[in-house]
Amino acid sequence: MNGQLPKGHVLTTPGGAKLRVEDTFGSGAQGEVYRVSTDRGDRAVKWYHANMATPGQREIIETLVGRRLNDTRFLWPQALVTDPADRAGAFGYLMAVRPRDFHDLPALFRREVKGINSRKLTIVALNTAEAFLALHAQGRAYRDINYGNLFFNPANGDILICDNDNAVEENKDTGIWGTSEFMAPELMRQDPNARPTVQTDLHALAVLLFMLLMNHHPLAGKAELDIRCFDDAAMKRLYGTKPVFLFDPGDASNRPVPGEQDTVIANWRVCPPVLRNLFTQAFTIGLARPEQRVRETVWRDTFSQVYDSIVECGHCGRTNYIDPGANPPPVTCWKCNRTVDLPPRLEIVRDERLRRVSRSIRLTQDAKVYEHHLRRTVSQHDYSRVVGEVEAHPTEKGRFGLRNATSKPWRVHNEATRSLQDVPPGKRANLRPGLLIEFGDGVEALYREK
Amino acid sequence: MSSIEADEEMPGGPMANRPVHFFWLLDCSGSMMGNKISELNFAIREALPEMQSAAKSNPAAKLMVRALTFNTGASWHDKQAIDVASYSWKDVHADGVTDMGAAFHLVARELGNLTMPQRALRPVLALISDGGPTDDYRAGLRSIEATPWGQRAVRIAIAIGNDADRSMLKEFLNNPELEPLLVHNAGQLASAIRWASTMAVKAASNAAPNTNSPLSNTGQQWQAPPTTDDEDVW
Amino acid sequence: MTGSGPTAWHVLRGSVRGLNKKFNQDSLYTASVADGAALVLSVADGHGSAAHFRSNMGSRWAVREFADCVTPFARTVVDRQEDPTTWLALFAAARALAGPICHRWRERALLYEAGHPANGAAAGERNPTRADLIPYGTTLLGLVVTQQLLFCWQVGDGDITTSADAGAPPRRPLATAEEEYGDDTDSLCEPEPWVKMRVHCQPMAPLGPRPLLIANTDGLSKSFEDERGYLKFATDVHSALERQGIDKVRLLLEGWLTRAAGKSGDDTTLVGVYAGE
Repeated sequence: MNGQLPKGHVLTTPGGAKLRVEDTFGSGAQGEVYRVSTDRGDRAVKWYHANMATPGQREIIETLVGRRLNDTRFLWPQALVTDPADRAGAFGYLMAVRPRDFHDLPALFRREVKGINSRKLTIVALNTAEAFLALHAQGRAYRDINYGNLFFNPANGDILICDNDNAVEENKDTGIWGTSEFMAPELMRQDPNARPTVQTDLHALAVLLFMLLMNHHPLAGKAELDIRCFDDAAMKRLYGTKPVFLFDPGDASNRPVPGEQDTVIANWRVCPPVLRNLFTQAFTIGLARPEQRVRETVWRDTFSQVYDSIVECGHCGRTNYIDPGANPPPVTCWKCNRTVDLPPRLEIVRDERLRRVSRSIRLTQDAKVYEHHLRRTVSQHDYSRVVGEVEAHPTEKGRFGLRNATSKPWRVHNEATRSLQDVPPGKRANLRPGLLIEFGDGVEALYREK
Repeated sequence: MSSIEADEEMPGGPMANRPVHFFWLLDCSGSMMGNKISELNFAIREALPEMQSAAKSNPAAKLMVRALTFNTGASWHDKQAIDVASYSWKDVHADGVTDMGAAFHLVARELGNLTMPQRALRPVLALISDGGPTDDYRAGLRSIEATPWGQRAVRIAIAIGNDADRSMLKEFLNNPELEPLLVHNAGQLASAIRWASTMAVKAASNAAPNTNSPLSNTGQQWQAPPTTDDEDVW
Repeated sequence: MTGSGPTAWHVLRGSVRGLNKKFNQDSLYTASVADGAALVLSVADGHGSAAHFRSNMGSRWAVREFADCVTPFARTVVDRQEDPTTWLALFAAARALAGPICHRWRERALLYEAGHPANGAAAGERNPTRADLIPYGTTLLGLVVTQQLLFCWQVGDGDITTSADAGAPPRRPLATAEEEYGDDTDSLCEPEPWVKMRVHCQPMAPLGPRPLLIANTDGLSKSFEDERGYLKFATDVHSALERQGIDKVRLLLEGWLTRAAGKSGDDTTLVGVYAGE
């Protein structure tokens, strides 16, 4: 027998489950991933290559299995797996099978993912930030965030984070330092006392989010094109000792090169200012000062707002990013070059720690109000939990309403008549200037022209 | 020579030539009645030997031919695709209106359903018409474009006489650099069909990567799309 | 690997012009590095149609620039491979080489184009741009193989196949979920081709003591009725190597490729390495 597990081979878990090897999902850097059948259906087993199956790794897997993360966005190790026929101490771990409709980032970059658009991509980004927030909130660092372990479903923006086999507490040493393009500069430089932590994860997360939206590495501009072959020193310069953001406002030395790196130039142009500012923070001051890195909650809340401000061009129908909030700078459609007409917006106001906070939803023809718009704390955005949705009037052209998709009535104020009216479940509030909807619990929505 | 063969001497599974599917899309509307339809029948019969020899000179490709006709509605003239080597022409007859859109839908369905392996060569669509479409041909064209093989098909258009809707035929060609072939008499029709059938076979079986895509030689420049958008850009 | 392990590496190489083609637009390259401790192998398939009339040059540069770019890397792998804690960094470095490999090809083609413009303009008349590279379009498939590790890179169609032994199903680690239609292919002449470059890295151990690794242009795989037939080709060659030995297979290889080129009509090129006695 060679190093591959043959079909029909039986592996076991400490709990006594029998796992029958069916076929292979592929061979990777650390191990092979097999499809196994169990009496509860198909599962996946990551089986470590001999050299990777160290006692330290085994201890980590046991720790991870003992303290699971209850978040469906992680393909978390479910059990240690061993081979009863093997005496060399090989092992692996059991996890759920990644469904076929989840794709990885390289496939996105190669344009192989059908059906993805800016709305879905924004949800992917949001989910990514929110998932790492859940992990980090438990004091654990992932340690090797890179484009190989994020998978997403283009149909709904759901994500799956794989290779969670090092995500133990921050202060444990796993021997994993990360993938160079994603390593925080202090790790890349091997600064004394630098080790993988939540703060270094935040750098990797920013790189991942930039790559997701811009399809390019934030530090790989002109300087990268000078690297001609494998060159440790050059890589260390690029990501460690002299990292320069492509769009650093104070340092133009590493701009993307037109004709060679056009994708990132085009994508940066259409990126809304609110996101540009965060990326600039992450890759200028955040490079040198870990405490200045953009936090997961900031990413998450920003993507949530960006999602609500995506608008279809009235001329060609392509989606464009508009800066969230009132009176955004005008946007020229990236596709047809005409000015994008802005629909009115719904301003949602609610209490938060003794102050009123507000956010906006652009009232496109299929705009929706989601549960997360109304709640103070959100542990997981769920775009299937719709509270209200824009609907066209069945007979009167140009008239739109917001349909109450909840089971409780809303109340609508009319300033002109000083009257109050109920909007029962299933009925619509007419969208017009001056409209004020009370959703309950102190949450209100105001109709704004600009 | 059988198209699929397993070989004692050769490692691997059965080998096969790469198929080229050639579709005649023939206008058989009432306006074709009389001379024109007999000239068309004659021209295709005439072109067959040359098509056969073009196919023979490229043994790596296997040329499969099938005709459909459109007048009031559209229908397959041949029940199935036939190897050109054993293809024989059965005369078409003229009657009715010019439902070209129906023809496009029919061929699109075939292109979409064909269990054409991805290793096949690009199909050829040869459209011959003497008039203007009487139905929604644009929807038909879109249905062709919606299939992977439709997007990649080599397209040829022959306009018979000045009444043919040349701007529509140009739309079918979907290439600003190409014009439909305009023919006025039987001799021109025969030579256009001969040219079409042999050139198209060559074009389809000469490897031309991504001819309908960024690497196109049609003069279209590739433009980096903002990647954060709709499926049509991806 | 002579001198550094119990097995010896045997290289297979062959290239055959497609039926009806004037000249062969495929290129191949094989070399041993670090006194045979590593092998660099590659094939490239110049697109060959009218729009790509200089693709024979493009494919030649592709295999050469690939080799020049990865050879220093192959030496580094040989130096570090005995320490498994360096492997993940080596895998990351291999992925990062996608950029330099593509960029070097581009520079090479632009340099030539500046001196010999394909559109008939006088040399030096204007600066060539990306669009001027279309005549040179080519695919690229390359491998670096050492005792411990395997690295594969691929832009465009063609196959890299690993066979652990003639009894185990061969794998195509870089096969895409959706195979390309007809002759559509990604190309080094496209904008930002490195995003199209697929990279695969793995330890050699799972492939057992006697693996066969091959890289071939699509002229070979497209000559079979389906993918199964092609994979069986890898298995059959592997068992021929085991039963009949490398010398016999080397003698037969050209004939097999000729048969394939007769079916697919395309130039057909294969490089491979077999770990034998």
